Amino acid sequence: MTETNTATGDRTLGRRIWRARWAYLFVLVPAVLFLVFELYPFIRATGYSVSSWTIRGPGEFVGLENYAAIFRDRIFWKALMNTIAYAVIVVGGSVGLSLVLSAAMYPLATRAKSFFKMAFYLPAVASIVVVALVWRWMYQPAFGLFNHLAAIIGIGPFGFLTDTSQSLASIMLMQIFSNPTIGIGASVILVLAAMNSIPTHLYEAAMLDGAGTVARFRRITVPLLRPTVVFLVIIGTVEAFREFTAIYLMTSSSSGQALSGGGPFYSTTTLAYYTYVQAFLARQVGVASAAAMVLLAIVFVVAVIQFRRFNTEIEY
Amino acid sequence: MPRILAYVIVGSMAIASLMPLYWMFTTSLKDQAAYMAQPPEMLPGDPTLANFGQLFANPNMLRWIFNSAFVALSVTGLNLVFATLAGYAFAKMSFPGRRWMFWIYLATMMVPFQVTIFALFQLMVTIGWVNTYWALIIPAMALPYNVFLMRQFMHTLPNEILDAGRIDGCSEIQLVRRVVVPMSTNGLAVVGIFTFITTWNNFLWPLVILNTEEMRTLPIALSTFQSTNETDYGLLMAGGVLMAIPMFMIFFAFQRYFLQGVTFGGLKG
Amino acid sequence: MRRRTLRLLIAGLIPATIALGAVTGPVAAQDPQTIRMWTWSQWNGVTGLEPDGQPLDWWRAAVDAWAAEHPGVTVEIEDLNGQDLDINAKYDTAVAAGNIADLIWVDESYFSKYASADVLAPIDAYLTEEDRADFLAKNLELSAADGKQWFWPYITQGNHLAINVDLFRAAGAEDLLPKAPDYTWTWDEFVAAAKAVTSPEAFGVGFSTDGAYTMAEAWGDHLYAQGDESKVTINTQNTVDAFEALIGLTKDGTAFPGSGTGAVDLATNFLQGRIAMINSWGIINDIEKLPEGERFDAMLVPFPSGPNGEPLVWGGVHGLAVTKQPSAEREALVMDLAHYLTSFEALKDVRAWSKPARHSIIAAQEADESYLFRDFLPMFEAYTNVAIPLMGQGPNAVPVLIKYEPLVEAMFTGDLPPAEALALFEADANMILGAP
Repeated sequence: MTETNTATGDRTLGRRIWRARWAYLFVLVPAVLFLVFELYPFIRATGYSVSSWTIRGPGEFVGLENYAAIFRDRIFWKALMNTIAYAVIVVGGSVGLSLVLSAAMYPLATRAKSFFKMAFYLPAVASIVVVALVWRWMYQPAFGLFNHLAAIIGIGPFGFLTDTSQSLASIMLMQIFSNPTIGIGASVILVLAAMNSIPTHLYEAAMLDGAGTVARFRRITVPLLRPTVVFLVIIGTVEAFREFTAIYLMTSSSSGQALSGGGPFYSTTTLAYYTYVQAFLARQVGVASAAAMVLLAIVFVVAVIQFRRFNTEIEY
Repeated sequence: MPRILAYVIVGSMAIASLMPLYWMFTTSLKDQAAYMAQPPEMLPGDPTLANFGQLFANPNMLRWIFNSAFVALSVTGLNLVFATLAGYAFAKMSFPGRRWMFWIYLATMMVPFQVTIFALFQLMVTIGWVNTYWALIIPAMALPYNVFLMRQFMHTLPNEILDAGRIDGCSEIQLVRRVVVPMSTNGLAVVGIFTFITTWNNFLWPLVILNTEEMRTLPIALSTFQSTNETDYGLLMAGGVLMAIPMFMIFFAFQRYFLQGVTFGGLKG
Repeated sequence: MRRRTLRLLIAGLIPATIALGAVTGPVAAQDPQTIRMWTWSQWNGVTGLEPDGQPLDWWRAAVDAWAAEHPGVTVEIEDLNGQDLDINAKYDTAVAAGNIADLIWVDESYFSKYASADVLAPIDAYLTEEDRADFLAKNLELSAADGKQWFWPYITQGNHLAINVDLFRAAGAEDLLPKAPDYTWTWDEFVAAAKAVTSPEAFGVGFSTDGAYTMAEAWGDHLYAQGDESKVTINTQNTVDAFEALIGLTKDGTAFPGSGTGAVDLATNFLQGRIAMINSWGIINDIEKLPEGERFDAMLVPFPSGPNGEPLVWGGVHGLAVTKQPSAEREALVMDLAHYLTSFEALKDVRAWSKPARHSIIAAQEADESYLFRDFLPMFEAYTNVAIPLMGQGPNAVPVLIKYEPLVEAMFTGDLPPAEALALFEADANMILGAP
C-alpha cells in the first residue's frame, strides 16, 4: 500500500460522500437527535452507574459498587424474574393469540374482517391511562365487575391485583388485550396484512400436490409469516421490558402515600419499575442507572438473537 | 375450517376486547351512585352528561386538550417528514456509513427509556426545557421506530421507478416528493397513526418533565383525578372518552390505509 | 393526492420552524425582584366556598395582597399539586441543577434532607413570640431540627380513621363509637364496633397499606424510637400481635377485601356506604361534595389503642421553607412573604376544610356558626394531639418506608407471616440506616 493509493482512496471517499450529500441531509435530523437525546444521555447514564449519588448530583467514582449492590438485592432478582415472565407471556400470548385469530379471520368476508380488526384495535387506540384504570376498577375484589361475572358462573371471588399470585397475570391479561404496541390489536392487523400478501399461486400449487388445510398453513403460511412474527416479537420484547405505566397506575396506592406500587409484595415489580423506584423514590440514581444498564444488556442480547434470525429470512 | 366456529372464536374475543371500552363509555354517563350500583348496571339506567359538564367546568380543560393536540400533531408531522427522508435514505440510497449508521440507530430502539430518562431530565434542566413543549416535541421528532418502519416499507418500492425518475433529472428531494411519498401512503398512514396514538397517550416522560397545571397533557391530568383521596370514576371515564374520541375519529378516517397494515421484507439492504 | 402530501409536509414543517425559533431564541434574564414559589394548593377558591373556585385562587389573592405592600416585587407561583414523592424528585433535580425556587412547599418528613444539605435558611430570626405561641406546639416541634425552625407551618396533617356514622346508626350501634372530648377507644371497642356494623351490604373497616402500619403502631411500638432514627424498633412481639389482629379482620370478613394492599380502592366504597370506617388523610371535603341524599354524618377519630399502646394518628405538618438567598435583604423579603402566607391575617377567612396550623385560625373558624365543618374542629384538635411523625424525619425516611410497605403487604396477602416480614424489614432498614 503506497501513499498515493491512500490519497486516491480518500479522494474517492470524499467524492462518494459529496455525491451522497442528499442522503446525509436526509438522515441529518435523526442523527443529531440521536447524538443529543440518545447517545449523550446514555453516556451520562453509564457514568451515573459507576458513581455515588448526593443530593447535589453524581458524587465520586465507586467502580462497580452499584452493580454489586443490585446483584445483592433480592428485589432486583425478583424484578428480573417478573420481567422475564411478563415478556415471555405477554409477547408469546399476544403473538400466539393473534396468529390463531388471524387464521380464523382470514377466510371471513371482508366486512366481517374489517369489523373484527377494528374491535381488536380500538382498545389500543384509547389511552392506556384510562384503560389501565378501567381494568383496575373491574378487578376490584369486592363489588368489581369481574368478580360479579365470576359469581354468575359460580367461580371466585378472586383477589386479582390484591393477590400476589394473580396480580402480574392480571396485568398481563390487560396488556394482551389493550397494549397499543404488543397487544393483539396491532398484531392481528400486521399478521393479516402479511397473510394477504402471500401469493395465492403458492396455495394453488400446494393444493395440486394434495396438501390439506393444516398442511398448507404449516408449510406455506407459517414460514412466510416469520418476518412479521419476528418483528412483533422483537418490538414486543423491547416494549415489555420497558413497561411502566400500567403497573404504576394499577398497583400504586391511591390513598395519598404512593409508595407501594409494583406490589403487592413486589409481585408486579418489573426491572423498569424497579429502576423507577430506585431513581425517583429511593433517590439511588447510581443504583438505578446500574439496573437500567442490566436491563439494556438483556434487551440487547434478546434483540440481537432475534435480529440474526430476522436477517436470514428470505425476502419475498 | 367451519366458518361458524371461526365466527364464534373471533366474535367472543372481540366482545372481550371491547368490553373495557364499553364499560368506559357507559360509566362516563353514570353518576357515582349508578356506577357503584350492585349488581353493576350493564346499561346506564339514568344516563347523565354531568361528568362531561364537570370536566369542562375545569378552566384548564381546554388548555389540556390544546397541549395534547399541539404536541401530538407536531410530533406526528415532524415524524412523517423525517421518517420519510431517513427511511428513504436508508432503504434506497447508498452512502458511506449507511450500514453501521442504520445498525446503531436500530440499537437505540432497544434502549429502554429508563436507562436515559434521568440523564435526559438533567439535560432538560441544563438547557431550560423543563415544563416546556420543546421537551415533549424535539426529542421525539424522529422516532427510531418510525424510521425503521418507513425503511422497511420503502424497501419494497421498485427501484426501476426511482431510476427512471433519476434519469429524468429529478433531484433526490424531488424524487421523494413526486415519486416516493405518493407511493408510500400506506406506510405514511401507519407511521402517522402510530405516532399520533403513542404521543397522545404518552405518560412517563410528560409525568416527569411537566410540573405546572397549565402545561399538563391529558393523560397526566387524568391520572391526577385518581391520585387525590378519591377516584371519581365517572369523571375519569368521561376524560377517557374525551381522549378516545379524536383517536377513534382518526382511526376511522384512515382505517382504509391502516387496516391494510404494512408487510415486512428482510433486513438485508 | 400530491396536494394532500404537500399539506402534510407543511403541517409538519410549521411546528419545526417554531421549534427552531425557540431553540435559538434569547433566554430571559433572572429579575432580582422576582420571587419564585413552589406550592401545593389545598383547596379550591379563596375561602373554599366559591362554587367555581380554582386551586390557585387563594394563593394568588394572598400574594397580590402582599405584593401591594411591596411594589416592584413579582411573585411567580407554581402549583405542584402532586404526590409528596413527585415533589421530592422535582426538588432533588432542581437542587442538583442549582435552580431551586425561593420558597418551597415541604413537610415534616423530608425538610431535614434539604436542611442538612444546606439548601434551606432557618426561620428562627423571623419567628415572633406571637407566632411561637400561636402555631400548634406539635407543628413547631415537627418543623424543627438541630435546635432550629426550618419552615413556616401551613397545614396540620393526619392519617386517621374516618367513620360513616349513618351506617352505625342504621345498625343500632352508634353508642359503640368513641366519644368526645378525646374520641379515643381501645382495640377491643373498635373491633366490637366494626363487627356490629358489618352486614352483607357493608364492611366494618377498610385500610390501605399505610393505614395498616399506622394502626399497628397504636399497639405501642414504633418505626423509630422517638427522636432516634439510627435504627428501626418496630420488630417486636407486640407489633406482630397487632398485625395478626388486623389480618384476623381481613380473614373473618370484617375488613374490606384487599385491605392492606396498595391496589385497594377505599375512598369510593366508603363514600357509597360500602365500608363503615377507613383510614384517610382527609375525606370530609368529598363527603360534602356528595349529592343530597347520599351525604352522611361522619366522624374523624384516632386509631384505636392496642393493649400496650396509645391511640394515635400519623401526623405531620406541611409548610413553606425559604431556600438560601444571595443576600440578607432578599432573605428578609422572602421570609416576609412566607410569614404573611402562613399568618392569621392571610388565612382567617378560609372556610374550606383547611386543617389550620394556628390556634387563632381554628378559633376564628370555631366562632363562625355557619362554618360547614365546625363540628369536626374538636375532633381535629383531638386527633392532632395524638399525632406522631410516623415515617421519621431523617434523610432516610423515604428509602426505609419503601422497604416497609411491600413487606406489610406480604403479611396481608399471606405470603409472609408478620414475624418473618418484620424481621426482614428490620434487616433491610438497618442496612440503609447503617445500624448494626
